[in-house]
Amino acid sequence: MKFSWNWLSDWVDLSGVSVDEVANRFTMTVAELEGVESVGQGLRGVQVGAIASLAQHPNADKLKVVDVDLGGGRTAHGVSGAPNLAVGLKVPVALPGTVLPSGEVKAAEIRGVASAIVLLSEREMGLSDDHSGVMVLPADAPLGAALPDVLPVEDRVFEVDNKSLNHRPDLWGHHGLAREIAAMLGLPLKPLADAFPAGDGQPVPVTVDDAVDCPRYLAMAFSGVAIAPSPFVVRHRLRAVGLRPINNVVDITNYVMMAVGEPVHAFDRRMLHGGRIQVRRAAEGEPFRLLDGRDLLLTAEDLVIADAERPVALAGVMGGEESGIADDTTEVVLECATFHPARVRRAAVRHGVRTDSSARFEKSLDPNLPPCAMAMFASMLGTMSPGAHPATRPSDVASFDRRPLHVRLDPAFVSRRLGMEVPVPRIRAILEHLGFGMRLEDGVFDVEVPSWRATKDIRIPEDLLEEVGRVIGYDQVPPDAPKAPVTLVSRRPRRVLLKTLRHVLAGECGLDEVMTYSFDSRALVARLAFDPPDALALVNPISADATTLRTDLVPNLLGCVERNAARFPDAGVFEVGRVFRAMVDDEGVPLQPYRLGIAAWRRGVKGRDESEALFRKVKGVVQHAFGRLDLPGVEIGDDWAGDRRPWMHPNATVAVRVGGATVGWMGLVHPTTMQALEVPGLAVLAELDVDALVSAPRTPRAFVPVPRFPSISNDLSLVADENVRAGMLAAAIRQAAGPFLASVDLVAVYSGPPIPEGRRSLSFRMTFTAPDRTLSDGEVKEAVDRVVAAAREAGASVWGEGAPD
Amino acid sequence: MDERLQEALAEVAAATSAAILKDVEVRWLGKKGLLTSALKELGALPPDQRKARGQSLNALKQAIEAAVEARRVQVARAEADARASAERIDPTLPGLPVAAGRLHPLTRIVEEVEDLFERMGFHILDYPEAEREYFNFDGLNIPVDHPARETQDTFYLPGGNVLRTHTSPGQVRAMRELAPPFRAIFPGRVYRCEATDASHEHTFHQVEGLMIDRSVSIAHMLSSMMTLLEGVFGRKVEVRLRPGFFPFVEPGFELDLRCMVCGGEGCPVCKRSGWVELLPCGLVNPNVIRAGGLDPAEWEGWAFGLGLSRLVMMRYGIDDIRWLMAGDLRFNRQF
Repeated sequence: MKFSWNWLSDWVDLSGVSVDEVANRFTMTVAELEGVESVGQGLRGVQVGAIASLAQHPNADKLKVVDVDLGGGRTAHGVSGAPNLAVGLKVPVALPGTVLPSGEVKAAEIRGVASAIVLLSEREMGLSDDHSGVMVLPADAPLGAALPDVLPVEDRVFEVDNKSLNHRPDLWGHHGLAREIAAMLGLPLKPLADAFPAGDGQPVPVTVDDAVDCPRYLAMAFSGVAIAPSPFVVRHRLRAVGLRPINNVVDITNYVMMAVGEPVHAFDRRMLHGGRIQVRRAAEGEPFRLLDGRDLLLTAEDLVIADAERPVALAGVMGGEESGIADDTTEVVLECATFHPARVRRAAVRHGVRTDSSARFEKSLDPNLPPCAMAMFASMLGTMSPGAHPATRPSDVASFDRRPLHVRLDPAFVSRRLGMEVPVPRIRAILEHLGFGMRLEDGVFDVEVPSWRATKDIRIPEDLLEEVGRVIGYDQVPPDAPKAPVTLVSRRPRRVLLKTLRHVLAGECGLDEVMTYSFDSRALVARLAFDPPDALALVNPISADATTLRTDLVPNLLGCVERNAARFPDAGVFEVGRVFRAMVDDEGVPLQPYRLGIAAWRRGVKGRDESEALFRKVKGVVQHAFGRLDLPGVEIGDDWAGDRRPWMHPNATVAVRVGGATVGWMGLVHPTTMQALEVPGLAVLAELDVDALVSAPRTPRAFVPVPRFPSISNDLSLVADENVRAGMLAAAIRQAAGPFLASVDLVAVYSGPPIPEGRRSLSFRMTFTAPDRTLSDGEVKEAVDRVVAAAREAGASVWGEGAPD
Repeated sequence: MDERLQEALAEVAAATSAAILKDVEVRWLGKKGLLTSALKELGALPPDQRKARGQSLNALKQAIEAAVEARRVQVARAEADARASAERIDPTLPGLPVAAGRLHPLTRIVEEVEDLFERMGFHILDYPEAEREYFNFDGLNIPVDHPARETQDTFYLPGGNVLRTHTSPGQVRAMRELAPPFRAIFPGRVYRCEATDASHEHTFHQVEGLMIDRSVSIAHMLSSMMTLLEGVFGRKVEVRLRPGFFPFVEPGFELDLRCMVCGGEGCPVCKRSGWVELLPCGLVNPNVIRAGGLDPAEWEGWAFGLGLSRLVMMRYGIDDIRWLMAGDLRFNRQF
């Protein structure tokens, strides 16, 4: 919203006050100003002149040769093409050398006649779009005076973000703003007049169906109206605050709205069928054409102003086309009303018609404003349409509570909560200046809230604390460290675990952390042939592609694979985040567990060796990370028996278990999925339930004495069918090797000549040790022999010893 | 004997390499060395000579050993020096990359902020992202007809739930969860149903802070905010409080930070004002205290909200908020 310095000056004397000071104080005590702009600057060189003589230009039909009297015996001579010239007219004159916003005026010869003047239109001075003729100045303007001394063309306009005034219904007009500025500068404020003359006629009949919808409806008819353009001063102010002048009646309604903060509406009385007004709900589907020509189908939730037959305004939002002011309007009915804020707002939103009017009504306007608005309208109409006068007595249907709101305020509360001592008289002075009634009873103020602050923003002592604080200035408050007891704050196990996990996965395992949206992409899950079960759907999605919340981390991680694979052919990422289910907990909150997702990929490779290598890489990451979390008994290898997802490989998806409990799965991505992503290559995924990890039992680290006796290692290459799993052979080795086996590690996998097709060699390194002595060669050989026998039992042969029996 | 000593010492001194020195050592002190042989011959001497001869041979042996040892150190040192003066590497060869991954920049900032608050005795809590409407709105003194509840700002879910539009629901939840007095922060994802562009995202990160105690003032809040910001920015900061309206605090403020780019002179970053709007804060509205299950006559509080996505963008000079959730390694690998 914009507001004007000149306009404020109608109610508070700002002479001697700097614009910067007001701007700064406003930002610091009310709301941030977004900017201050200058209007009508650079016209100091323009002088008032009177047209002394007019003659036809000898060489041009449309031009006149003009003599101008500039006062003090000064005259000037030149050529003008303005169509509205007349002898005696006072006009703005620029002489050569005058610098205007559009450039410097120079002497010229126009069609053979020397011209040393420019008679200026409003547009040429940057004051409006009007270029229809020379601007006509008041007849009493002194000759030779500088234009800004004759007309208030110069102004400063402040702009404030509407949102920052949402809570202040009283600041949506200049008078309320002037009150605020007067209070912060300690200056007196002129009151708004609320008395207006009434006519003699019968009041316009008004009925209000529901007082909640419309707590007050004040209407009065005026007659003898002549529609005409508004005077410059009115047009100039409207334009300065961003409104377009239309005609005197419409301009007055806008002027009143900007001045009083109360939107008013003028109906053409001829068009009010039955001559009466009913404030009612619309019928469902009732048609209505707005002033701007748009057609609406109303709903039963909409409040309308109707005549005897049909709606004439969408209450508080916009008037109707038919009942609007026309060029031949002579009688108007002025509406000054108060409407239910949410009803106005919802109608404006429902029909997509947000207006200056609806913006104000939805803030909860003071029901005491309508008479002030009526008074200003009546007074301006009398001036701007001479002969216009109230035709009827007013109708005033008012049902609002006129009892003032009281709040009790302990001065000690103000000082304590501000954190600085505020003298009681200071509190009283500040609040009184803002219009609050202050009465001290037994050391506590009984504060009477003025009606313009009582509709919603002042309710409790804290609200008054703010009033005092902001006028004093929060820069006066000395920072003071809270005094709080020393306590030990417990850490949440999940946060501790997630922090470790992130650092291990990134810092130690080489994965990059990503964050992706909590929404599934419909397009992506469709390509993945995934129909998320029990997905939580948004009631109002932002796009057709993001309609549900993710149930799994994988789809967005696969999106990440797709996005990055071309530039980063061999990489891995992880994400920690919530997934969502439609199912709710006892409190009604949707289930939203944290998951850890991992995706690693290699572009441009295929085949079992590469698949196993990538799988082992991710498996190693999971094992390492779980080790860092002190989780014992990690098992990764049994086929996944849980819910299948389309990206899961049929033969290469396994459960991840900790201490026997399944915490998630990992596996190779299905080739179909890789095709859908158009990524040639391999990917491995893991998705793990974080809460299962949090609740899994931990084995704290404990020191294992370093063996005092040397260990003996023995390598054994076992050749077996390619479908025999290394884990099975390792288990067989462990079982057969006896008590001295300290570890068994797979050190090499090989297939190819001379190993027969369909078989592969797995080389294990066994390490033997005893706590109390060095093992003898015989003891080790005995153990290895047992292992070999067991391996043969399991269908493997020892490389170099031929095929098994 | 002196002649022998001189001869041996001369040979030792003349040895210029470890190998030559070894030869000298062997010639004199080896199993078949000159001294060893002389010592073996001692037994053949008459007893009266044997002792004197033995003592002088031993003295000779010790002197030679000492000389060899001293020379060995010298030679080794000389050889190392010679190697060093001949040795070259190319120090401009690039360092080998370490195969470490990167944490998301938001994680870095979140951890930094969490550590900061943990040092100040705050609980760090995590609350639902899909949240009851009650906690997101009603409990925060945002009644049904409030414009903030309009669907253009809020993602609604079935069953009276929403995607939380701010981390503020944590205020009510924390009061219900913790015994006062307490201090807590709750960082996390929040959602707004609005179109995305370089500076707007429907998903972003915030941290909310709350302190509940028996008597809480604006002066306390101001001091705490300044401490927080000093921690975040690593230096003294200048702040100012302006009135700002948020239904869950009263009074409510916008806290501005003296522009760190221009120092307050005015620049494009601060839109020539010298101040950058940083975070909303205020004294907790009594209605919110009540919703938290506490008696506002007994308990008071301050609260603040800080945009973490914005903080990350400020910290690293990120020009488009959409990078944060894009999952693009060209971005993530920069941190």
